[in-house]
Formats: sequence, structure tokens, C-alpha cells
Amino acid sequence: MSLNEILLNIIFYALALTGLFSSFMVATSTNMVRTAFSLLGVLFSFAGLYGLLRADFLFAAQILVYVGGILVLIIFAIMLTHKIANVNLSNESTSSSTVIAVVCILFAVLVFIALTLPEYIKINQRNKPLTEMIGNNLLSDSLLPFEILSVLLLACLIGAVYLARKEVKE
Amino acid sequence: MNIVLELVKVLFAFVLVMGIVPLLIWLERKISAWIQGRVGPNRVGPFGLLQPLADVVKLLFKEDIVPTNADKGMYFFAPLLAMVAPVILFAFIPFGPDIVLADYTFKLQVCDFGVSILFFMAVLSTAVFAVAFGGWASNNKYSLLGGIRAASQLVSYELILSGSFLYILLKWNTLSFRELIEKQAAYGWTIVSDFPFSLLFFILFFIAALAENKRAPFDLPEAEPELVGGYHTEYSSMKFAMFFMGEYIAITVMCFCMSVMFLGGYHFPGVVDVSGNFLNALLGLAVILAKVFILIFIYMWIRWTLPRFRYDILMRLSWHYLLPLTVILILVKALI
Amino acid sequence: MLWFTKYPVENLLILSSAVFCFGIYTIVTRKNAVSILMGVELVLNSVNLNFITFSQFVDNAGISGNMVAIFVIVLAAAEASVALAIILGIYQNFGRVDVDKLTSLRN
Repeated sequence: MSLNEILLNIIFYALALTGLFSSFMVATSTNMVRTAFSLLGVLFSFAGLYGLLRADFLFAAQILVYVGGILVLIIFAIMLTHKIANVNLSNESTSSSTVIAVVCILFAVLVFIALTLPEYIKINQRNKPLTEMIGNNLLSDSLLPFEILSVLLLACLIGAVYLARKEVKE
Repeated sequence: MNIVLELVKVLFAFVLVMGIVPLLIWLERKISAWIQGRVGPNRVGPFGLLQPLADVVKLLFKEDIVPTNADKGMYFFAPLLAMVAPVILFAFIPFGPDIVLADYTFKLQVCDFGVSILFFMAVLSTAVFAVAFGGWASNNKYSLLGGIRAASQLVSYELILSGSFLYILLKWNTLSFRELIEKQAAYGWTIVSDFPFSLLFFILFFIAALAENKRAPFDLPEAEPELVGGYHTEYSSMKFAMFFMGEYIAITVMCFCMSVMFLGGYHFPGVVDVSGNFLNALLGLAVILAKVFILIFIYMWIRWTLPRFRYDILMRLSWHYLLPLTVILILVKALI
Repeated sequence: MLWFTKYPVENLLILSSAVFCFGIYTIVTRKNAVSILMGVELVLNSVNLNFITFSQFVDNAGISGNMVAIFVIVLAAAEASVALAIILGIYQNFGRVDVDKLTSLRN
């Protein structure tokens, strides 16, 4: 194994452990803002994994949309729906042994499927940036989903404004 | 051999961006003194040049106070993010022409992806979290208000920055800073080659960059008369210094970005070529630093001349005037 | 399964299934609507990681996995904005966002 591969493995395990620990904190933390902060960790480590998998456009999109967009929205929602001046914002969770058992079974099934993967893995040696390919694909093969998505985004823009606006008193 | 050269380059970029910070602090104090008819720092070293060094030593020896009810983990993490994010941003920016050595070309850019503008935008959008989490974790009403103000201000003005990046994409058809400079060297700098649009977008980008760096007249997050110190009220000693340095690094990086996007980066007609020998690279570095320092001077000039905006005016400026203007300009540019 | 491997497909799949399970756990156990939304984001992220893994290791020529992941990200953004608008509306009407306490259709 070359130095390069060892380095890649170390980066992979660092990112994977960060993601695991952060998602565990999202699931169990008792503090609202800490949960959001842990979600930041999950999103960053996943962005790093996308980078490791040579999906450079996804790396940028993950940070741009998830971290810079959705997480900011979530933080705003937390700030608008809680009395945030208090540092100890409680974030209740009702855990029971049934839930934990079901989740464990689910995890076991998923791991079993992952480990019995058929052996047809080919290795994709992509070295040039994916962004150009994705741009071409968006305007050729996946043009229809792309256009439908733009309509959907418009609809959700109008819907969000309609829902969040103040009621007009008559 | 190549690895050593690359490491030296990374180190050089880091030293460059960290070395500019004390210079900026000195410059800011001197310019403010000049504008207000004072002398400014003049005791430590020649022309007071060593003043920032003295400040750093002072800050290092200050007691590091952590508020009793602060959320420890996030309280420590926020200044780190505030400083690391702008330093990462600098990695995407080419700060000098290629050096053609015997066997390969040495690029004066820390990481040269094909889509560095996209990555720049992505990392830029993480700046919100340092102020939002830092303000919240201090457990102080003033910090919290400063953090919320900063978060909504940054989110509002980021859209205008993205619009300007979109314009650059439309105009030059590239997402790489390096190619951008090459194209500007071939067809003229953005600001002159596409006159009415480029100037308008440059002004829009400049205003948005001022707001993004939380500089006056948009420094609402740290408005002293209302919020004591804003989101870094509760930070002391080295953690405050990290917020402070992060702010100056962000200013430097934004000025680098502006000079690359609109003013041709390290290119200067007749003097610097986009690739060449070692002397050419030095000249290129000097050219881009000159452009950056002119922009930084304008930043400081604005700070010490204009009064602070009111918060609702700041928000209305972004959402009612600048953003529609950006969208209309992009549409017109796309149609032409 | 190798712990130090050149092609960490299994490791990536196990990581994504763990994050998926944490997401499901969050959705099931949390009371706060915003927290439930965070659980949904965890689930979507883990699915995205799977898609990109398969795009890199299995789909040799194309980029379909990447395309699906991009669409998932866009849908997640749309879903988050509408869901948070609904949560804000609920907060304005009821003054709380705990899903187990919101049992009446009108106030």
C-alpha cells in the first residue's frame, strides 16, 4: 500500500468518525442549538466524503445548499420558535427500548445488505472535474427533471411566502 | 522535489495572508488618524509599524475569561471557524503568474480546481456560523442580538455576491479563477471590456463585500452604541484576537477576489504576462498586491467617512433595491 | 471486509446506514418539529452518500448517481423551506412546535 492510499484511508476514517459522532449527537443531544451544531458537523464530513469520492460538484453543492442554505434556515427557525436567550434550550426526546430495538434491527439488515454486495465493483478513474459533465447532462439527458425541478422550486417559493406571511386583518 | 515546492508554496500563501493582517491593522489606525486629523500610532518602531506586534503581545497576556454559563464547546469552536474559513478561501485564489521551470509549470495558487469559483462561493457561505454560534454560545443578550443581526445580514448580502459570480460566469464562461485571469489578459480586464455591466456589478459586489465583511457602514452586528461589541462581546484575549484577525483576513481575501474578478488579477498589460520566469512572478505579485491595497484603502476610506446604516435600511437596501437590480442586470446580460 | 482498503465501498455503505438509522431514530423520538426536520436531513444525506458511492464505484461511465444526488439536494432545500414556513405558521397560531402537543385542528 502506497503512502497516498494510507493518507486517503486516514482522511476517510477521520471524516467517517466525525460524521458518525455528529449524527449520534443529532439523535441524542438534549440541547436544541447543539443539535444544529452537530448537524453542521455531519454536513461537513459528508461534503468531505463527496470530495474523497471525486464528486467535486456535489462537494460544492453540499456546502452551498445544505450548509449555507438549509442549516441557516434551520437555525433561523430555532431562533424564531424558541426563547433562545437561554443557553439551555431543551430538546426533548422520548426514547423507549422498542424504538432502539427497531432501529438496531434496521441497522443490522442494512449492514447485512452492504456486506453481501455482489462483486461487480469497477473502479471509476475519473480525474477531470465532474461539473462540466453534470452541466451537459442537465441540459440533455435530464432536461425534463431539471425543468420540473425549476417549476417545483417556484411553487415552493410561493408556498413558503404564502405560509409565512402575516395574516391581513380585515 | 515537487512536493517540497508545493509545501513551500502553501507556507508562502499562509505567511502572505497572515502577514497582511498586522499591516492592515496598522494601516487602518494610520488612515483613521489621517482622516480625523490626528497622528496615529507613532511610538513603537518606525512610524508605529510595530504597534500591531505590541497589540498581539498584549492580547496574548490578557486573561482568557470564559463566561460561566457559556456553552463551552461552541464557545471555543466559533473563533476557530471565524479564522479558518477565510484562510481556506485564500487557497482558491491565484496570487501570482505561473512560473515556467525547466520541467514543469509552477502555479502560484494553493489548490487549482477547475471549478474554484464554485468552491469559493461554497466556503464563503460558511461564514455565518461563526457569528451565529459564537453569539449564541456566549449566553449574553447583546452577543445573541449581534449574532442574529450578523446572520441575517450575511444571508441577505450573499445573494448579491452570488449574482455577481453568475455574471462573471456569463461573461467569461469559466468557473476557474486562473482561466478568468488568462481570458482577461487576452480580451481586456472585465471592468473595461464590458463597460456598463461590469462597472455596475463591480459596485454591487463591492457593496455586498462590505456587508459580508461586516465593515462600516454595514457594521451593524458590532454597533458599539447599541450592542456593546456585538457577537464578540464576551470574547477576550486570544479568542477575540482570532475573531479580529479572521475579519481582516476576510477583507484581504475579498479584495483579492475582487481584483481577480474585475481588475485582471496579477495581469498588467505590458508588464506582467500570465506565465513566465521568476521575475515575472514577482512583478505579478507586486501588481496584485497593489490592486488589493488600493481596494483596501477604499474600504477604510468608506469606514471612516460614512455613518452607520440603520438596520431596517440595511435590510431594505438589500432586498428591495440591490437584489432586484442584480437579477434584472443578469437577465439583461443573458439576453444580450 | 478490510479495514484498510483501496476501495472502501462497504465502509461507506455501513457509515451511510448508521447515519440513516440515527436519522430514523431522531424522527421517531424527537418531539420538536425542527428536530424532526433535522432527522429528515440526516436520512437524505445518508441516501445521497449511497448514491455517490455507487456512482463512483459501480456506474463506470455515467454520472447518474451524481445527478440523483443533485436532485435530492434540491428537493431537500425545497422541502426544508416549506416545512420551516409551516412550522413558523404553527408557532404563530399555537405558540409551540412540539408535535405531541399539537392535537387540535383549530385554536
